[in-house]
Amino acid sequence: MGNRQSTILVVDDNPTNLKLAVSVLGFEGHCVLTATDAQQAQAVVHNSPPDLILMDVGLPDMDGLALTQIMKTAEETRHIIIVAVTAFAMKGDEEKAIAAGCDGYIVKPIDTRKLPGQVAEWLLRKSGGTA
Amino acid sequence: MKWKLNYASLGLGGLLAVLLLLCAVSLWSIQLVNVSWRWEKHTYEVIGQCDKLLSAVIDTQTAARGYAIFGDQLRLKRFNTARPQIDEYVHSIRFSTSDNLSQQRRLDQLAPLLEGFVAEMTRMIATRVYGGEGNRLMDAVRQIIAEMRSEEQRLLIDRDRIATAAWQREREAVFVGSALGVGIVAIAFALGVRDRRQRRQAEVANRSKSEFLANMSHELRTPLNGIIGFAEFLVDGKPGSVNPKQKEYLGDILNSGRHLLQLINDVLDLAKLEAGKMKLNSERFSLGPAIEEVCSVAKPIEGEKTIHLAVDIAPELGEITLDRRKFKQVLYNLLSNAVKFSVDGGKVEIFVTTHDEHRFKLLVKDSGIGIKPEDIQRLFKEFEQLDSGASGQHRGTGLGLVLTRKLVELQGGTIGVESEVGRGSRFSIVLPLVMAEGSA
Repeated sequence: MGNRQSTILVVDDNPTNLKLAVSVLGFEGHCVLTATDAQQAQAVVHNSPPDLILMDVGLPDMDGLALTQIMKTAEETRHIIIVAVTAFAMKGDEEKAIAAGCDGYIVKPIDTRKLPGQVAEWLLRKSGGTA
Repeated sequence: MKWKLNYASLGLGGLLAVLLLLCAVSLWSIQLVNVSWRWEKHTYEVIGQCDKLLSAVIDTQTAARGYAIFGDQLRLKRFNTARPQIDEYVHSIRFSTSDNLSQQRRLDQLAPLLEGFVAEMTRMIATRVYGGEGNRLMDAVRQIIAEMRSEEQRLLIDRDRIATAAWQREREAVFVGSALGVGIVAIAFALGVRDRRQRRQAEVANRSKSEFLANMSHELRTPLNGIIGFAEFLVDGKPGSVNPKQKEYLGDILNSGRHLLQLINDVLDLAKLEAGKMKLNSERFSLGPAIEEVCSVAKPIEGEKTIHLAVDIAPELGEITLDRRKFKQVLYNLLSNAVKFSVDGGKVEIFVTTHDEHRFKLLVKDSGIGIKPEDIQRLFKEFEQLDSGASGQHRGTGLGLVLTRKLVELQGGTIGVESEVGRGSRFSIVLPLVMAEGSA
């Protein structure tokens, strides 16, 4: 499809869901990194900063939104696009995610047909904005 | 909210009733005591008059007898003072006891006796001869006055008894009334406390229910993410091609997963609605694009069957002010039902027209299997999946139309249906063009 290859970090404590995201995004040609908790995520971000993070909001050691807030306030990680992934389809979740600094918001179960397009759009929007 | 039993006002009402009753009883008792007192005073007066009459009679006799013996002027003077007093006292007693028949009768007996007595005494003064007749009359007079006196004493006791009884009753009424009042207040207070505690418990239970459902929804969606996601990924042939049979079965997994997801969403929405937690976000939006968006999602899965979808919106209807998401959800439910129950090659039409000045009407018409008349009643009720004769094929949550009805009503609208078996169904909703403030 002519997608530019990007590095994407998927943070999710459920291994199946992690595998699904890796499969779907890997199929699109992206380099997909994974983390199952906030600590791992921070280590990955430190070692090989991704272009985009798919952040599950319910992590075992820390709220995904709190982690987003930390990354969005730190100088070296501020540029990373962070998309919140939540299983709650509750009103107000989107507002909470945006308030925490997320650039986008998707609801589980993820739509494997739409996700690649959405990711491409977020990446494009960001690069278009900075270029 | 319906009228609710309020223990505080109930207690206050009870207390007021008791106080009023107490007041009435008190007034009555006081009235009785008052009357008795007046009568007692009267009786004492009559007794006093009787005593005075007797002493006047005695004085008269003593003076007459003394004069008969000694013939002195002092005794004659005393006689002349005492004698007219007899008439005077008889007169006042007659007046005081005018309402008492037996006393009047005694007075009638007394009058000739006294007359005779006074005549005898007068004779004694004139002749200065002491006779036994005077004593006999005197005894008779004494006897009758004593009778009158005791009659008055008896009356006194009666009247005193009435007053005492009234006092007694008053005391009891005050005691019982106060106890009752205190009791009512205490009971009302206790019931109020219990009521408040129950309400708090219900609130806590309801909150835990909502929390439970939210958590449940989260927990159920997590594995569904894998089921639906991987099925979709495989059906699309992304990791490698699948043969037609495999593709069909993967499609079945995908549909089952989506069905389960819909079920979870419906249950969660219904719970939110029932808990009164469904909030409405009114916004102004164009009908056309919103309906187009729903149509693109509600279309049948590619390759499954072909349904012709047509949308017709009256040109005067542009923008409306409703909860856009809820509106789309309602339309999605109606449209996906229409698609689901339509046969391959069928037609589903959407007509949007002006209903009246403030409302518009949306009609979803299909050429599907239709609904039996006896089933229409049950259509909007919870957990009523109709036996379509092909239920295996048309499984739903049984909640979709209930949810749809509630969402429509929440926005101040109504929903209706007409259907004919084998010909299709027509679901129509009437919604306000502008949602009333505060319907959320």
